[in-house]
Amino acid sequence: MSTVVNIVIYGIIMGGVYGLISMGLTLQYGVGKILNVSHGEFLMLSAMTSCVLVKAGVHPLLTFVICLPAAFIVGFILNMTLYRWLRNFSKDEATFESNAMLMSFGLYFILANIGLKIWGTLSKSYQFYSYPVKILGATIIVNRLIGLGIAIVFIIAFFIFLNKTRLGKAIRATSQSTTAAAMMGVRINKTMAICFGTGGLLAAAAGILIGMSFSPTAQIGLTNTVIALIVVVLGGMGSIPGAVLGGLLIGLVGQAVSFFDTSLVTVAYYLMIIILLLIRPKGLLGR
Amino acid sequence: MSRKSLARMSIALLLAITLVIGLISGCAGKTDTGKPSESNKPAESGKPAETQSGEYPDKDPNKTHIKISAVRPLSGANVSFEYYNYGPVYRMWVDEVNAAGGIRVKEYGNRKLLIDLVVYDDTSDVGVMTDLLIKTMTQDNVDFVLSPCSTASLQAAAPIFDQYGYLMIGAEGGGTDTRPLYDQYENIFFTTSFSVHQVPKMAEIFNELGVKKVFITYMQDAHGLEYLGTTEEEFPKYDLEFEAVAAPWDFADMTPIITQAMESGADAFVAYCYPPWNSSLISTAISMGYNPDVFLVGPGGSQQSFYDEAGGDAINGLMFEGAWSVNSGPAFKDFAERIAEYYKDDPNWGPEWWGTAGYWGAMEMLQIAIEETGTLDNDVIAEYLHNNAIETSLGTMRFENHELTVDSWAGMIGQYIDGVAEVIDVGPKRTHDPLYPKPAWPAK
Repeated sequence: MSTVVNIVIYGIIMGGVYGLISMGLTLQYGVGKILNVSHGEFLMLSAMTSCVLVKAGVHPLLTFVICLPAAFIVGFILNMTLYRWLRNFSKDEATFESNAMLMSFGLYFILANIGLKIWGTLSKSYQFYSYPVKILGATIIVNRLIGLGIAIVFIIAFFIFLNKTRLGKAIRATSQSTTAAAMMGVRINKTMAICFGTGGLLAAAAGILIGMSFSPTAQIGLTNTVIALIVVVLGGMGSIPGAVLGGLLIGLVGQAVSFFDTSLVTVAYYLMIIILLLIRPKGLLGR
Repeated sequence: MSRKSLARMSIALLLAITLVIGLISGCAGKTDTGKPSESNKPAESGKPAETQSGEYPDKDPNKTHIKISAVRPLSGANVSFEYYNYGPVYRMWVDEVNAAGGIRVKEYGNRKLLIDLVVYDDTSDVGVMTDLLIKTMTQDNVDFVLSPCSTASLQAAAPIFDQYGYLMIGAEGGGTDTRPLYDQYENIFFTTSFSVHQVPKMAEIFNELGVKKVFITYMQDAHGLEYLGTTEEEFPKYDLEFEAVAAPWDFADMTPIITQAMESGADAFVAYCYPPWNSSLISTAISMGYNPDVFLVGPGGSQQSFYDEAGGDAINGLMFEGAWSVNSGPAFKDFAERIAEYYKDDPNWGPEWWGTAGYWGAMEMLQIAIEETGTLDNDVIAEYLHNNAIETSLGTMRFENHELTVDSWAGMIGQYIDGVAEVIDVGPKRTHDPLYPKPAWPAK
């Protein structure tokens, strides 16, 4: 019984974090048509920076105030410069999409090596509510529960932002049709840059949660990008609710398989993707 | 802006990005050799070499330096090995040799020749490493080439060293997987202790301590499977029961592993994993209040910085594969102090208690072999290394069947006791009695 409770609770916890990472990636792709391979590096930089800040005496929750705006600004500037130029140079949307992905590979190498140069390969960690509580017989570490709570707050806030604010409506309009949105007065470049920045911000938030609960290294970026890609494909490219649902599923499956054979987790992920691509290629909530 | 100028700008931008990537990842770049601070101070090239009496003929009176190159992971995933393990050793060795005036080589008029070191960055990529290795062996006119990093690199490098006539003295890496190379390549040497040396000692210690059951998590790769295989052979000799669970491929939540370890009822926990996994296992165990009597981790555990970062005093009693200690003898203490002094300006650096002493001994062995044979001929030096026990500052060291003998190492299993890395092997190499059971993690 406790094993099942463990799987469900930790599955939901990991699902929340995966959902957060994937929402950012799917937003960047859905609106800007940028499959951002460097997405996980934003997470890594944030996770490592937050650990360093906490070690320097900053409260873990305060690191959100520092890392999130920084990630947003970096993402915003990258989009307003590199990706905007690339968009101007690309003869059509398909060319831009492939060029943008190549550019994000370049960014991945740059950011990953910056992380390695600064922190090497050793882990960083700190203790924050690092003690267990018993829930229905399962041993759950409190900081994981705090992480889940924060992830849920971010997810809800993001949904409200998308659905209730003027900017959110502009983002949704841009994701449906750039041309039509532009004709309605939406400032496309700025909207895309905000989406890219927000994607970075969400990855940074996930990074801080990972730093709070685990021992991140400068090498975790690519792993999390791959997980986010799996989640996004599972949930449906460009679908925000799909990213949350996909994150939850991956979290639950990952934990369930971990309890039986940890080494088969990645196999299980890809098996899910293969099955899904065969029966529903657009993903669970893809359009 | 016209389409044409946009295209030009696009090309310029891509070239700029490529350049930046190249610069940052150090692709095929020639780099400094030195330690972080005054690292690459060139050897005093203008200084005339010391000349002895004319009893030794001089092959080349113009030769002032022994040229040595290395292809090392100055960037990428393996950079920490360069930073903590072999890097500090060969850099300090070169500086100390040069400070002492060089290495005396009889075939060059018994003059002392300084060392001229050049290091290339393989970006932690085996393919880049092999390319650079061939480049340096064919174009740099070097006398010796130092070891690349990692078992995979050593496996790929051995045939290249052999083909171009260089001897290879391995540093980080090696294991049962590299043993088949011994029959194919005569002039290769390995200096790192591994599973077949460490696991028997571990079993001996566990038996002495009265451990009954061990929970093991392992990487499902050459390293983890090799250690697990040796465990399957060694633990039954002492009736040690064990339960083994594979670690995830990627960095992940370690809660399921620690949960299984708790449920196993084992009194010892062993991780044949890499630093990020080991660190995460420790922090998850602390968080979940999992307190086995023994907690032993593999690679990374021997780095003092790992210990400090993973908890320091809070994880007092952590065991690791290795091992040597400042208490292994005055020479080891002196070596530890010298290397600490060498890196004193780098607050992130800390000593490494697994291979470092062996690597240092191997550098001295090379130096002594050059002086004794009086030549820079790699074949002659390799033959000397194969056939002689050599008195180094860290004791008598000897290669037997391409590996350092067990006696050449200061120990196999270490434990941090009050912040000091100690050797806890059963027998005369022990520097401190094992701390058993390890102190409980501090309560939250």
